[in-house]
Amino acid sequence: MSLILQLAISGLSVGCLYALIALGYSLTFVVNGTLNMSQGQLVMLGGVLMFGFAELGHLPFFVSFMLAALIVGLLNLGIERLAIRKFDKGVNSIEWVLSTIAVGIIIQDVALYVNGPDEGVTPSPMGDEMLRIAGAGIYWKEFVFLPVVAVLLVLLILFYKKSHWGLWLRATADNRTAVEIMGISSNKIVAVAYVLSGLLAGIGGALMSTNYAVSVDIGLPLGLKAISVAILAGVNNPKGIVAAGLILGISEAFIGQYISTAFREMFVYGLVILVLYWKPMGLFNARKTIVKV
Amino acid sequence: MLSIKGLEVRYGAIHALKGVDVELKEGEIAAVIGSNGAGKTTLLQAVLGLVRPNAGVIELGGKPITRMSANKTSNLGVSLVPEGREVFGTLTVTENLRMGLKKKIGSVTKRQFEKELELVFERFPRLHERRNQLAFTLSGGEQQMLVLSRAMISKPRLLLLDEPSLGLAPIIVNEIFATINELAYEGTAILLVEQMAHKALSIAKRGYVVDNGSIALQGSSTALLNDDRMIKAYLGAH
Amino acid sequence: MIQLIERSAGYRAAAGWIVGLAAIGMLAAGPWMVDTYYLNLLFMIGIFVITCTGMNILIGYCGIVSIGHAGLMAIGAYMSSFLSTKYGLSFWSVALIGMVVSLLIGSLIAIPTIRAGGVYLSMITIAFGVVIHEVLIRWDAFSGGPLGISGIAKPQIGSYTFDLKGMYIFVLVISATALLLARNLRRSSWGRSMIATKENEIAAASLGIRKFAVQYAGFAISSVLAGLSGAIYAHANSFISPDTYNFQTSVQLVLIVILGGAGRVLGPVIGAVIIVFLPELLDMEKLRMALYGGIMFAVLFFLPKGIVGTLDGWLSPRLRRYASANPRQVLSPEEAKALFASPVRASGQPILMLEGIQKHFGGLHALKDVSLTVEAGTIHSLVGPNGAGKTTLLNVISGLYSSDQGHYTLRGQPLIPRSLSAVAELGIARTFQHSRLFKELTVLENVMTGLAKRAQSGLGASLLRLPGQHRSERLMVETSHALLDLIGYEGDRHMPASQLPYGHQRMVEIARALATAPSLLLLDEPAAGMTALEIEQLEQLLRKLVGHGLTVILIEHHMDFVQRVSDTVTVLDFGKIIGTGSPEQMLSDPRVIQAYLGSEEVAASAEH
Repeated sequence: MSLILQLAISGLSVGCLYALIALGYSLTFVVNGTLNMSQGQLVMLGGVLMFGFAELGHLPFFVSFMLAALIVGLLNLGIERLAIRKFDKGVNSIEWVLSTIAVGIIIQDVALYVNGPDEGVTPSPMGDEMLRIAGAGIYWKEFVFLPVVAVLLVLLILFYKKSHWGLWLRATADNRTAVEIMGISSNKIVAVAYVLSGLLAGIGGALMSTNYAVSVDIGLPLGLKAISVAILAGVNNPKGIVAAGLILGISEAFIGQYISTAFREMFVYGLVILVLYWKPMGLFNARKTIVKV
Repeated sequence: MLSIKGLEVRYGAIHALKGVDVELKEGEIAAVIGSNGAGKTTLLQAVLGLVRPNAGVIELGGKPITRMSANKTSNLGVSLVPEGREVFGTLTVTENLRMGLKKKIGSVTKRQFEKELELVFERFPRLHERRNQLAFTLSGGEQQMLVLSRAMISKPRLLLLDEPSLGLAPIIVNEIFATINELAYEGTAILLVEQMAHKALSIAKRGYVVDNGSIALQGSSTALLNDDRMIKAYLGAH
Repeated sequence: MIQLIERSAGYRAAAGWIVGLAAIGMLAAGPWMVDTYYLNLLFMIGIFVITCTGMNILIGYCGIVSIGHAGLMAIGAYMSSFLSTKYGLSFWSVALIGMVVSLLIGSLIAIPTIRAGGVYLSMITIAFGVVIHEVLIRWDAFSGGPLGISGIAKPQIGSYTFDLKGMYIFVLVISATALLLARNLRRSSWGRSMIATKENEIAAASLGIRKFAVQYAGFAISSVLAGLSGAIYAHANSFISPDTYNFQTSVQLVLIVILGGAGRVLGPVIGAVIIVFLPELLDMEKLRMALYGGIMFAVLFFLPKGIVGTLDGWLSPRLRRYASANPRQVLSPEEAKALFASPVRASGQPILMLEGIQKHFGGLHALKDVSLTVEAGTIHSLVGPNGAGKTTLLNVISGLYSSDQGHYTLRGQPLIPRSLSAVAELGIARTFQHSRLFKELTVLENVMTGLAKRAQSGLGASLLRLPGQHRSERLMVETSHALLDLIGYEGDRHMPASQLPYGHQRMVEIARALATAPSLLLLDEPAAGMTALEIEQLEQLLRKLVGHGLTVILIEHHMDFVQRVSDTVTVLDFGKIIGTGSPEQMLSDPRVIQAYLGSEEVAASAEH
């Protein structure tokens, strides 16, 4: 019983990370149909920066956290400008896939060059205290992922639904031509989406480094997991993404424990392929695409 | 209010507008008619700034706005209602209208926006009924009312209308045209591109018939209505 | 004249063969010219060329970017190494098994994901590569874990064991063969259909080309070649480990293709040479991946067509003037007739009947209870103001949209327009309001894509360019020329379609639609953007077509043109049919004038 609870909690906190990264994909994909394939590497960068600022630079925890998130957010602004804008030429263009992959391997290789293969865990302000529920011992620093991601999600939804930038993002996602006609620069809105997406990646990485050792080569597999989450849920469905992220996190924890860790990856990607076959718009997607006359 | 002189637009090898002159006063409607591909939509896009003219001058209230971006012209009070309605289908009716404001909604503007909303709903009670519906569920006529209201909410001095009758039943077209007439009466200058030539000329003061990128005919609406050449040019006969 | 051109084309082909064979001959002398180190590099180039030629078909022809082909190479390598070390099977049989297993596993990821399309497929291939790498590290019993498999036997023929020199020659032969197959494919219906689908899925489907079939074929070929090169590498190197086949390798493979020039037969050769030699030249240990990333970025930014593509784009306009004339012949009536499907029914009988068609887009009621009968052998025009629903109706008939309600009857048989390609196979062809020519293909090739369904050539025959294939290809060229003659196209037929003037694009599109031998042709505003002279040509063409038993449904705004060519006119307004009749009748009908001009007074004045 206690093992099950422990697995569930650690699965949930991993799932939270997946959801956070996948939301980053979703933010930009709905706006202009592109996403940053190097999102995983950005998360890695957020983690490495966090560790660097807090442990090596001895900056206060929250300052390091903010700095890591901000730097990654701004970096994504540059990525949008360089690797996306020129290649965003409608639904069939795939150049941006390649250009952002190129960005990803450059980030990873440069990070390896500068940082080396070292990895470390940033001490969490939650300390190493344990939470004891029904005989299970759960680290607070792991458990805290849940409320943090929940708060971020609420903020994101509020931003999306209530703020004028949120409205503009949704409007651009819906009809870019009409936004241009209103005299609003849609390039600017796309850039905002990318900054937000980068912030999420940076926060995800910084958060991650408080409980896991973030190594330089973790970016790619992490990014792929998050893409799987986005595909499973439907890329334009934020709530579904959170659900899919949590479910995936938990299933991985249990499969890893009771079946095998090698099988775990095959399970995830096999599932993604099946979903793409049966429901290419995602499992939780009810909305049909609207065709213009 | 609006003065266009010698406007030329090229898309690569295509010469879309070949020297077009248009004059429009405050509170006036000018109808632009012509066959498909004659260059009517390009004219509107050039005024708003979505298309860069290659030559010519566009002035708004005496100030040159040639080659200004759509962002700037719309701040100066130019609004375009595009062809084919272009609503934000996945946004609600109210959100669509809020897009028309183009500004951040603060505490002051919020009250102002609500006042504007009331005016819109007074004019089109059907939009009030549907204010919380997603726009793609509206009928064609309701969508046209929505985009017209969306353009009006920013209180433009110059309204550019592109084929507001497109695909609508005659009774709805009448309603839309009545509203356009009212807007002009309230002081907005309106440049109306329309395929229903007679309908458009019935509310416009002046008419311009565009053929193959230049003005083939122009004059007061009554004169044009009685001109045989108009139908011929309009139907695209060569 | 014709003979002269054909002879010069023949000379060019022969020159190509001679240059190619000479190059291979020189490369074959390599082992006796360079030391082992460089021979090894040349061998690696050959391995990359084999894999990347397959990927070139996938990326360049089909437009699918796979970033997981290292995984497929790994399957070929591990499968053959496992079988040969464990069971002592010969290289030739295990290489074959490796190719088959690579094909099977490639199919396993391609079949479910092709439908979901480009970006999704790319992501899945990345994941696939990562999973394979992971499995290889963990599945000790099969793969030897992180240490890999060593002591893999070299291939043998009789008593001869292939040393590095032998392997090099072997790889040279295989990669030359792969290049030849890719070249053959590009010159076949399959290759053209791949490019057509990549460039414009909708237009390709309207010619009866099934996206799945062509894209799967591309994926299958690339899987087999990746498996083969994997097996060869493993047996030449005697040792393999998982790290040879990681994500970085997959990226490197893609980079080779796009650097050389996606879709260019020789692209992978150039790309592989650069990617293999460059790190040697720069002598880089660290930041090698960053270098590849930088190159990829630079290629996307500055050389989107790759090296070969850019060179070709610069050279071909300068070379083409020697081969620009077209064989032009006067068609005999029999020949012209042979271009068309025999008319199924005598004219005057209904070919297409629509009953109660309804179509909604959200709250928009685009087609309201539309019923229509089109008689065979006539030109039936649909007119009405913009936004009346004419194009929507055409899209519903041709299977691009599905209607919400309604019955269709084609030649007396109930018809369910499921998809564009299915409808096309029933003998309904269409053109589009905005030109949807395949820009990368020449004018002639565009028309030839329309013939793909008629020719039905096998994939194997196309790759090998068997004699029968040769003949059918010749026949297709002739038929396409005849169709271009029929529509009166007099411009350069070997020019890329992207360079055509607008009016010509519309005409070529009609020729392409006619190539499918339709009995019913749907034309969406064909005269838009045409000059008066071109409209006159179009008018003559339509009459000719009807003379051959075709039925035409025409959407058009030029009213005098409609009046001249139509047998029947149907008027639509706000999604409803407001009348059907003869052109004179309809175009003077007050309701019609009102729909167009929007006032009753004119309707009255137009009556006298």
